[in-house]
Amino acid sequence: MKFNPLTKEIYTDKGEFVKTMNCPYKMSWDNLETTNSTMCKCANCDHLIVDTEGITDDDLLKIVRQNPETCLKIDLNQHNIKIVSNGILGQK
Amino acid sequence: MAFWDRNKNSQGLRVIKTARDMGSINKAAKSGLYPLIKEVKPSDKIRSKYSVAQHKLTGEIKILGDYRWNDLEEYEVVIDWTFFYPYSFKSPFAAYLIPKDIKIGDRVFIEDLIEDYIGASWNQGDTYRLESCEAIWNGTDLEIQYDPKTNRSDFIG
Repeated sequence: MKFNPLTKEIYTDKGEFVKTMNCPYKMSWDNLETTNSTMCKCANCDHLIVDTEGITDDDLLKIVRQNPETCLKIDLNQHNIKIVSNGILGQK
Repeated sequence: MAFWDRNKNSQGLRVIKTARDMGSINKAAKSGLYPLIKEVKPSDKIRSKYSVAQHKLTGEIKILGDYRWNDLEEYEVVIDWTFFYPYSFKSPFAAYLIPKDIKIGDRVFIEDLIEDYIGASWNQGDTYRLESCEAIWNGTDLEIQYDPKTNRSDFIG
């Protein structure tokens, strides 16, 4: 998957748009209620938050399409992500 | 000293809006808000990198941003890794819109920070702006309650 930290947009490796990240509560992963090793629950809004490390693009698309309210966690240093931080340069 | 907790939401705190051009600043002033004018000063601590590679035959280019992903077959690097300030704002000044009834010592939530603080950093050297932060009104200015612990590598949303 690809992530642009400037616009917070997530794409698959093939360039399909997944979602734009937005958390009005500025939540942190460490302080969420753990549901299992890849999911947490937000105490503020009850949304599930899925850790994207270790999940495939296909699974990610499936999760977000099934429930567009799903929140995601992305770490800039995780292995399955390509950072496209130069969105203003037209990088995709 | 109380710092901004990234986990604390803005509920319960008054939200301070930001106006980023003359029109919206004057509109806010006419509506009774006091525009606290600030210069928009890019920090040299906020930076993103790029490299440009050009196809040897067609001349088309690729922009690279991540050291780990470098498929450059048939391409040659024409600009090596270079850091730059990745944000742009429409005006070199902006204003926090202060409500008339704010009191000294009031803690507020600034939705769109004008000042540059590091909100996230990547182990490849790129750093990104903190977008929002709490602040305390001291009678003449907003004291930003920045906590370096907010500088993280993960994003949630």
